[in-house]
Amino acid sequence: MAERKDRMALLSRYNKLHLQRYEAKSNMNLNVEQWAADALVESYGMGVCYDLLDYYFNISLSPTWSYFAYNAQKILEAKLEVEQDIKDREERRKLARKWISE
Amino acid sequence: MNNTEAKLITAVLNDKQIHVLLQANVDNLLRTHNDVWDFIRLYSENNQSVPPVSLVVEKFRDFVPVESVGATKHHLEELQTEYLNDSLKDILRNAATEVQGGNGPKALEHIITKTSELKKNTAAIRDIEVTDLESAIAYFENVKKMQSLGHIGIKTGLPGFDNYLPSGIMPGQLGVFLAYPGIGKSWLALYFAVQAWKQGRSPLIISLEMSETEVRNRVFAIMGEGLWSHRKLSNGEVEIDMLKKWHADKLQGKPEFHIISNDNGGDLTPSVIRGKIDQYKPDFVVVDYLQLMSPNQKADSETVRMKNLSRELKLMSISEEVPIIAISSATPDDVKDLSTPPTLGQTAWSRQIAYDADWVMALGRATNSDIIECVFRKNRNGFMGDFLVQVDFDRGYYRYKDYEDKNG
Repeated sequence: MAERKDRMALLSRYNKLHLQRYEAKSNMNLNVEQWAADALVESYGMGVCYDLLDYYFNISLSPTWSYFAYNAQKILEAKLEVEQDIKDREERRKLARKWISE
Repeated sequence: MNNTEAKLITAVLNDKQIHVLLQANVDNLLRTHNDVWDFIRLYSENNQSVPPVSLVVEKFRDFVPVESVGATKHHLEELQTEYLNDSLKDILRNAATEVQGGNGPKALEHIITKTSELKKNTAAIRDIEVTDLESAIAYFENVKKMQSLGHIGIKTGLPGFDNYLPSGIMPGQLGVFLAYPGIGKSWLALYFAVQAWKQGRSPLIISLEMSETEVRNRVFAIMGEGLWSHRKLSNGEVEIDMLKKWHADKLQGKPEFHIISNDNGGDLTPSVIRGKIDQYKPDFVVVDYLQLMSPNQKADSETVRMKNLSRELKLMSISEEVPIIAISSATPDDVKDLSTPPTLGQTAWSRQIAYDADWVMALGRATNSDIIECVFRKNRNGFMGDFLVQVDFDRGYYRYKDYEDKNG
Protein backbone atom coordinates (compact mmCIF):
# COMPACT_ATOMS: atom_id res chain seq x y z
CA MET A 1 0.00 0.00 0.00
CA ALA A 2 1.23 3.50 -0.83
CA GLU A 3 1.95 6.04 1.88
CA ARG A 4 -1.08 8.07 2.94
CA LYS A 5 0.79 11.32 2.24
CA ASP A 6 1.48 10.15 -1.37
CA ARG A 7 -2.16 9.20 -1.94
CA MET A 8 -3.29 12.56 -0.63
CA ALA A 9 -0.56 14.41 -2.55
CA LEU A 10 -1.84 12.96 -5.83
CA LEU A 11 -5.43 13.94 -5.01
CA SER A 12 -4.25 17.35 -3.98
CA ARG A 13 -2.37 17.75 -7.29
CA TYR A 14 -5.55 16.80 -9.14
CA ASN A 15 -7.58 19.29 -7.10
CA LYS A 16 -5.08 22.05 -7.87
CA LEU A 17 -5.25 21.38 -11.64
CA HIS A 18 -9.04 21.09 -11.43
CA LEU A 19 -9.27 24.48 -9.73
CA GLN A 20 -7.03 26.05 -12.39
CA ARG A 21 -9.09 24.57 -15.22
CA TYR A 22 -12.65 25.04 -13.96
CA GLU A 23 -12.08 27.90 -11.52
CA ALA A 24 -14.05 25.87 -9.02
CA LYS A 25 -13.11 23.36 -6.37
CA SER A 26 -13.54 19.69 -7.14
CA ASN A 27 -16.22 18.02 -5.05
CA MET A 28 -14.51 14.65 -4.78
CA ASN A 29 -14.68 12.66 -1.57
CA LEU A 30 -11.03 12.34 -0.53
CA ASN A 31 -11.72 9.44 1.79
CA VAL A 32 -13.24 7.41 -1.02
CA GLU A 33 -10.92 8.45 -3.84
CA GLN A 34 -7.74 7.91 -1.84
CA TRP A 35 -8.00 4.19 -2.67
CA ALA A 36 -8.02 4.87 -6.39
CA ALA A 37 -5.04 7.16 -5.82
CA ASP A 38 -3.39 4.38 -3.86
CA ALA A 39 -3.75 1.95 -6.77
CA LEU A 40 -2.30 4.51 -9.18
CA VAL A 41 0.70 5.33 -6.98
CA GLU A 42 1.29 1.62 -6.38
CA SER A 43 1.14 0.85 -10.10
CA TYR A 44 3.07 3.73 -11.63
CA GLY A 45 4.92 5.56 -8.83
CA MET A 46 4.49 9.21 -7.86
CA GLY A 47 6.60 10.74 -10.63
CA VAL A 48 4.70 9.00 -13.45
CA CYS A 49 1.35 9.79 -11.82
CA TYR A 50 2.22 13.50 -11.69
CA ASP A 51 3.39 13.48 -15.32
CA LEU A 52 0.25 11.64 -16.38
CA LEU A 53 -1.99 14.12 -14.58
CA ASP A 54 -0.23 17.04 -16.26
CA TYR A 55 -0.46 15.35 -19.68
CA TYR A 56 -4.13 14.52 -19.13
CA PHE A 57 -5.02 18.10 -18.20
CA ASN A 58 -3.10 19.30 -21.26
CA ILE A 59 -4.93 17.18 -23.82
CA SER A 60 -8.40 16.72 -22.37
CA LEU A 61 -11.18 19.20 -22.97
CA SER A 62 -13.06 18.23 -19.80
CA PRO A 63 -10.83 16.25 -17.46
CA THR A 64 -12.37 14.37 -14.54
CA TRP A 65 -10.81 12.40 -11.70
CA SER A 66 -12.86 9.30 -12.36
CA TYR A 67 -11.83 9.17 -16.05
CA PHE A 68 -8.21 9.62 -15.03
CA ALA A 69 -8.35 6.95 -12.36
CA TYR A 70 -10.05 4.38 -14.62
CA ASN A 71 -8.05 5.12 -17.81
CA ALA A 72 -4.58 5.84 -16.48
CA GLN A 73 -3.08 2.96 -18.49
CA LYS A 74 -4.68 4.20 -21.73
CA ILE A 75 -3.45 7.73 -21.02
CA LEU A 76 0.04 6.45 -20.29
CA GLU A 77 0.15 4.46 -23.55
CA ALA A 78 -1.04 7.49 -25.55
CA LYS A 79 1.55 9.70 -23.85
CA LEU A 80 4.34 7.22 -24.59
CA GLU A 81 3.16 6.89 -28.20
CA VAL A 82 3.23 10.67 -28.70
CA GLU A 83 6.67 10.93 -27.07
CA GLN A 84 7.99 8.10 -29.25
CA ASP A 85 6.52 9.75 -32.35
CA ILE A 86 8.26 13.04 -31.53
CA LYS A 87 11.54 11.19 -31.00
CA ASP A 88 11.18 9.18 -34.23
CA ARG A 89 10.36 12.28 -36.22
CA GLU A 90 13.38 14.13 -34.88
CA GLU A 91 15.54 11.19 -35.88
CA ARG A 92 13.97 11.05 -39.34
CA ARG A 93 14.45 14.81 -39.76
CA LYS A 94 18.18 14.35 -39.24
CA LEU A 95 18.23 11.46 -41.73
CA ALA A 96 16.17 13.48 -44.21
CA ARG A 97 18.70 16.31 -44.10
CA LYS A 98 21.44 13.84 -44.88
CA TRP A 99 19.34 12.21 -47.61
CA ILE A 100 18.49 15.51 -49.29
CA SER A 101 22.08 16.80 -49.20
CA GLU A 102 23.44 13.63 -50.84
CA MET B 1 -7.14 -1.74 -93.74
CA ASN B 2 -8.68 -3.29 -90.62
CA ASN B 3 -11.95 -1.53 -89.88
CA THR B 4 -11.99 -2.22 -86.11
CA GLU B 5 -8.52 -0.74 -85.77
CA ALA B 6 -9.52 2.29 -87.85
CA LYS B 7 -12.56 2.75 -85.59
CA LEU B 8 -10.38 2.60 -82.46
CA ILE B 9 -7.87 5.11 -83.83
CA THR B 10 -10.69 7.45 -84.92
CA ALA B 11 -12.33 7.09 -81.50
CA VAL B 12 -9.17 8.05 -79.63
CA LEU B 13 -8.62 11.01 -81.95
CA ASN B 14 -12.18 12.14 -81.26
CA ASP B 15 -12.56 11.64 -77.52
CA LYS B 16 -8.83 12.05 -76.63
CA GLN B 17 -8.97 9.12 -74.17
CA ILE B 18 -5.41 8.08 -74.94
CA HIS B 19 -4.79 6.76 -71.42
CA VAL B 20 -7.27 3.94 -72.13
CA LEU B 21 -5.03 2.67 -74.94
CA LEU B 22 -1.77 3.30 -73.08
CA GLN B 23 -3.04 1.18 -70.24
CA ALA B 24 -4.23 -1.70 -72.40
CA ASN B 25 -0.99 -2.88 -74.03
CA VAL B 26 -2.59 -1.85 -77.30
CA ASP B 27 0.72 -2.01 -79.21
CA ASN B 28 0.38 -5.77 -79.33
CA LEU B 29 -3.25 -5.70 -80.44
CA LEU B 30 -2.79 -3.52 -83.50
CA ARG B 31 -1.76 -5.27 -86.68
CA THR B 32 -2.43 -2.77 -89.46
CA HIS B 33 -2.48 0.59 -87.65
CA ASN B 34 0.67 0.29 -85.53
CA ASP B 35 2.42 3.15 -87.36
CA VAL B 36 -0.55 5.50 -86.83
CA TRP B 37 -0.75 4.57 -83.15
CA ASP B 38 3.02 5.10 -82.68
CA PHE B 39 2.69 8.58 -84.16
CA ILE B 40 -0.27 9.45 -81.88
CA ARG B 41 1.55 8.17 -78.80
CA LEU B 42 4.74 10.10 -79.56
CA TYR B 43 2.82 13.26 -80.42
CA SER B 44 0.91 12.99 -77.15
CA GLU B 45 4.11 12.47 -75.12
CA ASN B 46 5.74 15.51 -76.67
CA ASN B 47 2.77 17.85 -76.71
CA GLN B 48 0.55 16.62 -73.89
CA SER B 49 -2.39 16.43 -76.27
CA VAL B 50 -3.79 14.11 -78.90
CA PRO B 51 -3.07 15.20 -82.51
CA PRO B 52 -5.95 16.57 -84.60
CA VAL B 53 -7.55 14.14 -87.06
CA SER B 54 -6.50 16.29 -90.04
CA LEU B 55 -2.82 15.99 -89.08
CA VAL B 56 -3.03 12.20 -88.83
CA VAL B 57 -4.82 11.94 -92.17
CA GLU B 58 -2.22 14.20 -93.79
CA LYS B 59 0.60 12.07 -92.43
CA PHE B 60 -0.97 8.67 -93.17
CA ARG B 61 -2.68 8.81 -96.56
CA ASP B 62 -4.07 5.28 -96.22
CA PHE B 63 -5.78 6.06 -92.92
CA VAL B 64 -9.44 6.95 -93.39
CA PRO B 65 -11.30 8.10 -90.26
CA VAL B 66 -14.52 6.20 -89.66
CA GLU B 67 -17.73 8.13 -89.23
CA SER B 68 -20.02 7.68 -86.22
CA VAL B 69 -17.65 6.00 -83.82
CA GLY B 70 -18.25 5.54 -80.09
CA ALA B 71 -16.00 5.84 -77.05
CA THR B 72 -12.40 4.60 -77.13
CA LYS B 73 -13.16 2.11 -74.36
CA HIS B 74 -15.96 0.53 -76.42
CA HIS B 75 -13.83 0.13 -79.54
CA LEU B 76 -10.92 -1.16 -77.50
CA GLU B 77 -13.14 -3.92 -76.12
CA GLU B 78 -14.32 -4.66 -79.67
CA LEU B 79 -10.74 -4.94 -80.87
CA GLN B 80 -9.74 -7.09 -77.90
CA THR B 81 -12.62 -9.49 -78.61
CA GLU B 82 -11.77 -9.63 -82.31
CA TYR B 83 -8.09 -10.16 -81.53
CA LEU B 84 -8.99 -12.88 -79.03
CA ASN B 85 -11.27 -14.70 -81.46
CA ASP B 86 -8.78 -14.58 -84.37
CA SER B 87 -5.85 -15.59 -82.21
CA LEU B 88 -7.77 -18.46 -80.61
CA LYS B 89 -8.71 -19.76 -84.05
CA ASP B 90 -5.03 -19.66 -85.10
CA ILE B 91 -3.90 -21.40 -81.92
CA LEU B 92 -6.52 -24.15 -82.21
CA ARG B 93 -5.84 -24.64 -85.92
CA ASN B 94 -2.11 -25.06 -85.29
CA ALA B 95 -2.74 -27.35 -82.31
CA ALA B 96 -5.15 -29.45 -84.38
CA THR B 97 -2.51 -29.86 -87.10
CA GLU B 98 0.03 -31.00 -84.49
CA VAL B 99 -2.45 -33.47 -82.95
CA GLN B 100 -3.31 -34.87 -86.37
CA GLY B 101 0.41 -35.36 -86.95
CA GLY B 102 0.52 -37.39 -83.72
CA ASN B 103 2.44 -34.68 -81.82
CA GLY B 104 0.22 -34.18 -78.73
CA PRO B 105 2.93 -32.80 -76.32
CA LYS B 106 4.01 -30.18 -78.86
CA ALA B 107 0.38 -29.20 -79.39
CA LEU B 108 -0.10 -28.78 -75.63
CA GLU B 109 3.05 -26.70 -75.29
CA HIS B 110 1.94 -24.55 -78.20
CA ILE B 111 -1.48 -23.97 -76.63
CA ILE B 112 0.00 -23.02 -73.22
CA THR B 113 2.57 -20.59 -74.65
CA LYS B 114 0.20 -18.90 -77.03
CA THR B 115 -2.77 -18.62 -74.65
CA SER B 116 -0.60 -16.99 -71.96
CA GLU B 117 0.57 -14.43 -74.53
CA LEU B 118 -3.04 -13.93 -75.48
CA LYS B 119 -4.04 -13.34 -71.87
CA LYS B 120 -1.31 -10.72 -71.54
CA ASN B 121 -2.53 -8.80 -74.57
CA THR B 122 -6.23 -8.89 -73.78
CA ALA B 123 -6.36 -8.56 -70.00
CA ALA B 124 -6.78 -5.15 -68.42
CA ILE B 125 -3.58 -5.52 -66.49
CA ARG B 126 -0.13 -4.21 -67.15
CA ASP B 127 3.01 -6.23 -66.83
CA ILE B 128 6.68 -5.73 -67.34
CA GLU B 129 9.61 -8.09 -67.49
CA VAL B 130 12.15 -6.91 -64.89
CA THR B 131 15.15 -8.26 -66.80
CA ASP B 132 14.07 -6.48 -70.00
CA LEU B 133 16.72 -3.73 -70.15
CA GLU B 134 15.31 -2.07 -73.27
CA SER B 135 11.96 -1.52 -71.61
CA ALA B 136 13.65 -0.10 -68.48
CA ILE B 137 15.82 2.29 -70.53
CA ALA B 138 12.80 3.43 -72.56
CA TYR B 139 10.88 4.07 -69.33
CA PHE B 140 13.70 6.07 -67.67
CA GLU B 141 14.34 8.09 -70.79
CA ASN B 142 10.67 8.87 -71.07
CA VAL B 143 10.44 9.93 -67.39
CA LYS B 144 13.55 12.11 -67.77
CA LYS B 145 12.15 13.73 -70.88
CA MET B 146 8.77 14.34 -69.26
CA GLN B 147 10.45 15.77 -66.14
CA SER B 148 12.58 18.11 -68.23
CA LEU B 149 9.45 19.33 -70.00
CA GLY B 150 7.76 19.73 -66.62
CA HIS B 151 5.10 17.26 -67.66
CA ILE B 152 5.08 14.70 -64.88
CA GLY B 153 4.92 15.36 -61.17
CA ILE B 154 3.00 18.29 -59.77
CA LYS B 155 5.13 20.38 -57.42
CA THR B 156 3.53 22.16 -54.51
CA GLY B 157 5.94 25.03 -53.98
CA LEU B 158 6.41 23.85 -50.38
CA PRO B 159 10.07 22.74 -50.23
CA GLY B 160 9.34 20.22 -47.47
CA PHE B 161 6.72 18.38 -49.48
CA ASP B 162 8.63 18.62 -52.77
CA ASN B 163 11.85 17.35 -51.18
CA TYR B 164 10.18 14.38 -49.52
CA LEU B 165 8.23 13.48 -52.66
CA PRO B 166 10.91 14.27 -55.28
CA SER B 167 8.94 13.13 -58.31
CA GLY B 168 6.05 15.43 -57.39
CA ILE B 169 2.45 14.24 -57.33
CA MET B 170 2.35 11.76 -60.17
CA PRO B 171 -0.51 10.48 -62.31
CA GLY B 172 -1.91 7.27 -60.80
CA GLN B 173 -1.01 8.28 -57.25
CA LEU B 174 -3.50 8.20 -54.41
CA GLY B 175 -2.55 10.66 -51.69
CA VAL B 176 -4.35 11.17 -48.40
CA PHE B 177 -4.59 14.15 -46.06
CA LEU B 178 -5.38 12.89 -42.58
CA ALA B 179 -6.35 15.21 -39.73
CA TYR B 180 -8.85 15.87 -36.97
CA PRO B 181 -11.70 18.24 -37.82
CA GLY B 182 -10.95 21.93 -38.24
CA ILE B 183 -7.20 21.67 -38.84
CA GLY B 184 -7.09 22.92 -42.46
CA LYS B 185 -7.16 19.76 -44.61
CA SER B 186 -9.49 21.21 -47.23
CA TRP B 187 -7.57 24.49 -47.38
CA LEU B 188 -4.27 22.73 -47.92
CA ALA B 189 -5.76 20.44 -50.59
CA LEU B 190 -7.12 23.52 -52.38
CA TYR B 191 -3.70 25.13 -52.14
CA PHE B 192 -2.22 22.03 -53.84
CA ALA B 193 -4.91 22.21 -56.53
CA VAL B 194 -4.14 25.89 -57.19
CA GLN B 195 -0.42 25.05 -57.48
CA ALA B 196 -1.29 22.35 -60.04
CA TRP B 197 -3.42 24.88 -61.91
CA LYS B 198 -0.56 27.40 -61.92
CA GLN B 199 1.60 24.71 -63.53
CA GLY B 200 -0.87 24.39 -66.38
CA ARG B 201 -2.85 21.45 -65.00
CA SER B 202 -6.59 21.28 -64.76
CA PRO B 203 -7.84 20.45 -61.25
CA LEU B 204 -11.19 18.93 -60.30
CA ILE B 205 -12.43 19.44 -56.75
CA ILE B 206 -15.19 17.18 -55.49
CA SER B 207 -16.53 18.88 -52.41
CA LEU B 208 -19.05 16.95 -50.38
CA GLU B 209 -19.07 19.17 -47.33
CA MET B 210 -18.99 22.68 -48.78
CA SER B 211 -21.01 24.37 -51.49
CA GLU B 212 -19.26 25.06 -54.79
CA THR B 213 -19.45 28.82 -54.16
CA GLU B 214 -17.74 28.48 -50.79
CA VAL B 215 -14.99 26.41 -52.40
CA ARG B 216 -14.66 29.01 -55.16
CA ASN B 217 -14.25 31.77 -52.54
CA ARG B 218 -11.43 29.77 -50.99
CA VAL B 219 -9.84 29.13 -54.39
CA PHE B 220 -10.03 32.86 -55.22
CA ALA B 221 -8.39 33.70 -51.88
CA ILE B 222 -5.53 31.29 -52.60
CA MET B 223 -5.17 32.30 -56.27
CA GLY B 224 -5.18 35.97 -55.27
CA GLU B 225 -2.20 35.44 -52.91
CA GLY B 226 -3.30 38.21 -50.59
CA LEU B 227 -5.45 40.19 -53.00
CA TRP B 228 -8.73 38.86 -51.66
CA SER B 229 -9.96 38.36 -48.14
CA HIS B 230 -11.87 35.10 -47.84
CA ARG B 231 -14.06 36.64 -45.16
CA LYS B 232 -15.00 39.52 -47.47
CA LEU B 233 -15.55 37.22 -50.44
CA SER B 234 -17.94 35.12 -48.36
CA ASN B 235 -19.73 38.34 -47.43
CA GLY B 236 -20.01 39.48 -51.03
CA GLU B 237 -17.78 42.49 -50.36
CA VAL B 238 -16.06 42.50 -53.74
CA GLU B 239 -15.40 45.34 -56.16
CA ILE B 240 -16.69 43.92 -59.41
CA ASP B 241 -14.37 46.03 -61.60
CA MET B 242 -11.38 44.81 -59.64
CA LEU B 243 -12.62 41.23 -59.95
CA LYS B 244 -13.03 41.65 -63.72
CA LYS B 245 -9.53 43.05 -64.11
CA TRP B 246 -8.04 40.32 -61.96
CA HIS B 247 -9.93 37.69 -63.94
CA ALA B 248 -8.68 39.08 -67.25
CA ASP B 249 -5.08 39.27 -65.98
CA LYS B 250 -4.78 36.03 -64.09
CA LEU B 251 -7.53 33.58 -65.04
CA GLN B 252 -8.28 34.00 -68.72
CA GLY B 253 -6.64 31.51 -71.02
CA LYS B 254 -5.57 29.36 -68.08
CA PRO B 255 -6.58 25.69 -67.64
CA GLU B 256 -10.09 24.92 -66.43
CA PHE B 257 -10.65 24.55 -62.69
CA HIS B 258 -13.80 22.58 -61.90
CA ILE B 259 -15.59 22.34 -58.57
CA ILE B 260 -18.33 19.80 -58.02
CA SER B 261 -20.45 19.82 -54.91
CA ASN B 262 -23.28 17.69 -53.73
CA ASP B 263 -25.87 20.14 -52.49
CA ASN B 264 -28.90 17.99 -53.34
CA GLY B 265 -27.78 15.22 -50.98
CA GLY B 266 -27.65 12.43 -53.59
CA ASP B 267 -25.03 9.70 -53.37
CA LEU B 268 -21.66 10.58 -54.83
CA THR B 269 -20.00 7.32 -55.77
CA PRO B 270 -16.70 6.52 -57.50
CA SER B 271 -18.71 5.82 -60.69
CA VAL B 272 -20.02 9.38 -60.64
CA ILE B 273 -16.50 10.70 -60.09
CA ARG B 274 -15.19 8.53 -62.92
CA GLY B 275 -17.89 10.04 -65.13
CA LYS B 276 -16.79 13.53 -64.11
CA ILE B 277 -13.16 12.65 -64.79
CA ASP B 278 -14.14 11.42 -68.27
CA GLN B 279 -16.17 14.61 -68.79
CA TYR B 280 -13.61 17.19 -67.63
CA LYS B 281 -10.37 15.24 -68.14
CA PRO B 282 -8.64 16.78 -65.11
CA ASP B 283 -4.95 16.39 -64.27
CA PHE B 284 -5.50 16.57 -60.51
CA VAL B 285 -8.48 15.41 -58.45
CA VAL B 286 -9.33 16.24 -54.84
CA VAL B 287 -12.05 14.34 -52.98
CA ASP B 288 -13.21 16.29 -49.95
CA TYR B 289 -13.93 14.25 -47.97
CA LEU B 290 -13.80 10.50 -48.03
CA GLN B 291 -16.18 9.68 -45.17
CA LEU B 292 -18.99 11.53 -46.99
CA MET B 293 -18.62 9.48 -50.18
CA SER B 294 -20.61 6.34 -50.98
CA PRO B 295 -18.98 3.28 -52.58
CA ASN B 296 -20.40 1.72 -55.75
CA GLN B 297 -21.35 -1.39 -53.82
CA LYS B 298 -23.69 -0.86 -50.89
CA ALA B 299 -22.54 -2.13 -47.51
CA ASP B 300 -24.09 -2.06 -44.06
CA SER B 301 -20.89 -1.62 -42.11
CA GLU B 302 -18.93 1.63 -42.29
CA THR B 303 -15.67 -0.32 -42.26
CA VAL B 304 -16.64 -2.40 -45.31
CA ARG B 305 -17.92 0.77 -46.99
CA MET B 306 -14.56 2.47 -46.50
CA LYS B 307 -12.67 -0.60 -47.67
CA ASN B 308 -14.65 -0.68 -50.92
CA LEU B 309 -14.33 3.03 -51.41
CA SER B 310 -10.61 3.04 -50.85
CA ARG B 311 -10.06 0.23 -53.34
CA GLU B 312 -12.28 1.93 -55.93
CA LEU B 313 -10.40 5.23 -55.59
CA LYS B 314 -7.05 3.51 -55.92
CA LEU B 315 -8.12 1.65 -59.06
CA MET B 316 -9.58 4.86 -60.46
CA SER B 317 -6.35 6.81 -60.00
CA ILE B 318 -4.44 4.05 -61.81
CA SER B 319 -6.88 3.43 -64.63
CA GLU B 320 -7.61 7.11 -65.28
CA GLU B 321 -3.92 7.99 -64.88
CA VAL B 322 -4.71 10.94 -62.68
CA PRO B 323 -3.48 11.79 -59.19
CA ILE B 324 -6.24 11.72 -56.59
CA ILE B 325 -5.96 13.36 -53.18
CA ALA B 326 -8.51 12.06 -50.74
CA ILE B 327 -9.16 13.99 -47.56
CA SER B 328 -9.86 11.77 -44.61
CA SER B 329 -10.96 12.55 -41.11
CA ALA B 330 -9.13 11.14 -38.12
CA THR B 331 -11.07 9.89 -35.13
CA PRO B 332 -10.49 12.17 -32.17
CA ASP B 333 -9.26 10.24 -29.17
CA ASP B 334 -9.94 11.37 -25.60
CA VAL B 335 -6.37 10.58 -24.57
CA LYS B 336 -4.58 12.21 -27.54
CA ASP B 337 -3.66 15.81 -28.06
CA LEU B 338 -5.85 17.03 -30.93
CA SER B 339 -3.24 19.57 -31.96
CA THR B 340 -0.71 16.87 -32.90
CA PRO B 341 -0.83 15.08 -36.28
CA PRO B 342 -2.80 11.81 -35.98
CA THR B 343 -1.34 8.40 -36.72
CA LEU B 344 -2.50 5.96 -39.41
CA GLY B 345 -4.37 3.97 -36.78
CA GLN B 346 -6.67 6.92 -36.18
CA THR B 347 -8.08 7.03 -39.72
CA ALA B 348 -11.83 7.21 -39.31
CA TRP B 349 -13.75 3.93 -39.78
CA SER B 350 -11.08 1.94 -41.61
CA ARG B 351 -7.33 2.02 -42.13
CA GLN B 352 -7.74 0.57 -45.62
CA ILE B 353 -7.25 3.98 -47.26
CA ALA B 354 -3.89 4.25 -45.50
CA TYR B 355 -2.90 0.83 -46.87
CA ASP B 356 -3.99 1.69 -50.43
CA ALA B 357 -2.56 5.21 -50.53
CA ASP B 358 0.83 5.97 -52.03
CA TRP B 359 1.39 8.63 -49.43
CA VAL B 360 -0.45 9.79 -46.33
CA MET B 361 0.20 13.17 -44.84
CA ALA B 362 -1.10 13.81 -41.33
CA LEU B 363 -1.79 17.40 -40.33
CA GLY B 364 -1.90 18.96 -36.89
CA ARG B 365 -2.45 22.49 -35.66
CA ALA B 366 -2.61 23.88 -32.14
CA THR B 367 -5.70 25.90 -31.22
CA ASN B 368 -5.43 29.47 -32.54
CA SER B 369 -2.07 28.72 -34.17
CA ASP B 370 -1.38 29.63 -37.79
CA ILE B 371 1.18 26.87 -38.20
CA ILE B 372 0.17 23.49 -39.63
CA GLU B 373 2.43 20.61 -38.78
CA CYS B 374 2.62 18.22 -41.75
CA VAL B 375 3.97 14.71 -41.23
CA PHE B 376 4.30 11.98 -43.85
CA ARG B 377 2.90 8.89 -42.12
CA LYS B 378 3.45 6.84 -45.26
CA ASN B 379 5.39 7.58 -48.42
CA ARG B 380 6.01 4.95 -51.08
CA ASN B 381 7.85 7.38 -53.33
CA GLY B 382 10.10 9.31 -51.03
CA PHE B 383 11.02 10.03 -47.44
CA MET B 384 8.85 10.01 -44.31
CA GLY B 385 9.74 13.58 -43.39
CA ASP B 386 7.82 16.36 -41.72
CA PHE B 387 7.63 20.13 -42.16
CA LEU B 388 5.62 23.17 -41.15
CA VAL B 389 3.40 25.48 -43.14
CA GLN B 390 2.42 28.90 -41.91
CA VAL B 391 -1.01 29.77 -43.20
CA ASP B 392 -3.24 32.78 -43.40
CA PHE B 393 -6.58 31.26 -44.30
CA ASP B 394 -8.22 34.65 -44.82
CA ARG B 395 -5.60 35.96 -47.26
CA GLY B 396 -4.73 32.59 -48.81
CA TYR B 397 -1.04 32.67 -47.85
CA TYR B 398 0.91 29.44 -47.43
CA ARG B 399 4.55 29.67 -46.37
CA TYR B 400 6.91 26.80 -45.79
CA LYS B 401 8.72 26.78 -42.46
CA ASP B 402 11.46 24.47 -41.38
CA TYR B 403 11.49 23.05 -37.85
CA GLU B 404 14.56 25.20 -37.11
CA ASP B 405 12.62 28.40 -37.66
CA LYS B 406 9.47 27.19 -35.91
CA ASN B 407 9.82 29.87 -33.28
CA GLY B 408 11.29 32.42 -35.64
